[in-house]
Amino acid sequence: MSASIHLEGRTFVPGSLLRGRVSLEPLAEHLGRRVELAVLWETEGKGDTDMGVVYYRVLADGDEKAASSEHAFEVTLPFLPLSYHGVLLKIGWRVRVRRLAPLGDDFVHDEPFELGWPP
Amino acid sequence: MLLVTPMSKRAGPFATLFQILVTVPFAAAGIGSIAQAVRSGRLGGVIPGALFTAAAGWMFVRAIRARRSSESRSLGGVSATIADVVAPVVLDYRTAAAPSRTAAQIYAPLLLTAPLPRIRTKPGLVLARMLPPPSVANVFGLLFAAVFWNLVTLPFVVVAILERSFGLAAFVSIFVAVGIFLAVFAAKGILARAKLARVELSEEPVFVGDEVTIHVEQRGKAQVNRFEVDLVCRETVTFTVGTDTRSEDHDVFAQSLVDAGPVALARGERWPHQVTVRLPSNLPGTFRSARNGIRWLVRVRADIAGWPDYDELYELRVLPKVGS
Amino acid sequence: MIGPGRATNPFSAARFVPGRIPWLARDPQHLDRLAARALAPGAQHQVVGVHGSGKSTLLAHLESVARRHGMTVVRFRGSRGVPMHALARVALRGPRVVLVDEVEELAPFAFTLVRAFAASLDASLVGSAHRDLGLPTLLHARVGAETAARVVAHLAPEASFPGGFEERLARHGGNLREVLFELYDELEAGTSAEDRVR
Repeated sequence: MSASIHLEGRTFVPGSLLRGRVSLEPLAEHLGRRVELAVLWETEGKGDTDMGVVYYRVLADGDEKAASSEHAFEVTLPFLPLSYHGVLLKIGWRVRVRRLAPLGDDFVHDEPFELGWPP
Repeated sequence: MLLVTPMSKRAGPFATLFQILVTVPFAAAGIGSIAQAVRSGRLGGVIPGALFTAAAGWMFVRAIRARRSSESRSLGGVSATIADVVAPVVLDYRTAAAPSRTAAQIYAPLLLTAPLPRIRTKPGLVLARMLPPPSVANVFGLLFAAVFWNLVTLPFVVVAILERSFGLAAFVSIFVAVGIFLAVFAAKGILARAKLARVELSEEPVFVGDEVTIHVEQRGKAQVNRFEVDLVCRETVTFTVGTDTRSEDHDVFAQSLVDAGPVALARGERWPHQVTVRLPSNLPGTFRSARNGIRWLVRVRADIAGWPDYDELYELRVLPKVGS
Repeated sequence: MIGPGRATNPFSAARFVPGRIPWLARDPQHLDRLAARALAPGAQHQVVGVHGSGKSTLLAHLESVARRHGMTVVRFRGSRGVPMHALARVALRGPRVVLVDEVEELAPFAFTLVRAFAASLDASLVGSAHRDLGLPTLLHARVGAETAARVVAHLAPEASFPGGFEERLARHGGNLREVLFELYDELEAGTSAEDRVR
């Protein structure tokens, strides 16, 4: 499976609207699989990963048409946490498409973006 | 970019049912023990009963929460409420919120749902808000554990001495010594907290880039050799290394606010220090998640003659300035 | 955006959690051969090695291979006890695989129970430990300088470390995880590795 995520911008201010589209191109044998879309923040760095999800939607779950079509989405971004590039800790925002695999590894595709106030 | 990210799997209905069933004997034992203790008038029996009942409740909550996947769990815990509260804040932003509005007012709807620490300030005596003193739960927990440890090990020493098994007594004494060391360590921690400074702020939470006045006050009776107050912004991360969990800190910003002493304070006498500082605008705001955080801290260190020294952290919330 | 550090660090912990990077042995068939032995019905094996030598990584990859082959897998850490509900679930469907990280953290009786459970269901069992458990050894996990170089090249393809990794591994007792943390710190501090990764 492949997925492409198109966002209307790379940098967003808190409280603004994030708009985007997800195009799914599943392999024939993956058509019945559940595909989820999430907008989330995730920590990275020297510590273990934490995450928080601000938007979650099931794009397809057994529906072959939905599994191979384009999905538009929009979400009002929260005020916290802002993107941060620290020494031990980094906080990143991503749009994530995840196809669940009952057998084997899930397919995960991320599109990062920045959330913050202009300097 | 294509990533394979391991995420926690959602617990199935069978697992959830099993976990709930496991709680039943705990709950039954707990409630039964409490009922029995109350009926027989032996109220000491209530404590183990309460512990069992609490354990059952905790396991039940865990079982229910494990039903959700990592994304949906996070959504349920955070964003469902964020979705509700973001709107009024967004309106404020778009209608150019008056600059006089404080961080507490702007972020009020988010303080309980955003990834921030819960900090319960009180009205201050000198400034607007008083920061809560560091928790004593750990120190009392350590003292309790040390006393329990000694209650278990000490009888063995006594019996060994009575039986004239001095070798065994010497061996078990090592364990008693460890218990005594822990008890002394805990007692010193509790004593040190008896003379902790009071920390107050002109406002809390506060915006990054704003000025904040910090009032720190040491009370007597104390012969203070040195008294230091710093403002610190600190990254904290926790990671698992094999079977160990390790933490690491990195100070992104540290500024000395007070470095004073020596001074002799009479009983009841106060030694106040008040500093106004502008928080640099290029620094991050407070953040707290399960294993990682960005903490803003007032660090107070005191070297007190004839009394345990202390080095304590008072946490405050510093939040990004809206629109900047 | 705000922050004193790099936007990304290729040696972030999340990028090398067990299972995240491929099994980077010199022989591309190595994992398949290990899996064929480990996942045979009724087989019981141990993976022995020091901290950070790849034991959990191998278990994660065995889990992945087993799932791809339609096997029912239960994998748990000994330090968190035996997940009875997961074992019960495994009992319902076969073929089955039981993977136990940190076996020595389990009570000996509990591990005997898990072994008996696996044997009774003809499930394959692999346990990882720091010492010999008396089971047939699937792999004596050890990270050499060559493997370390492959892992680092996978995480940071543009990096080059002329000195190699022998000295670093020796300093950390063969623990690759600690070596990667060291590289993380070096990148953030802008020291030796700074100019090697863009």
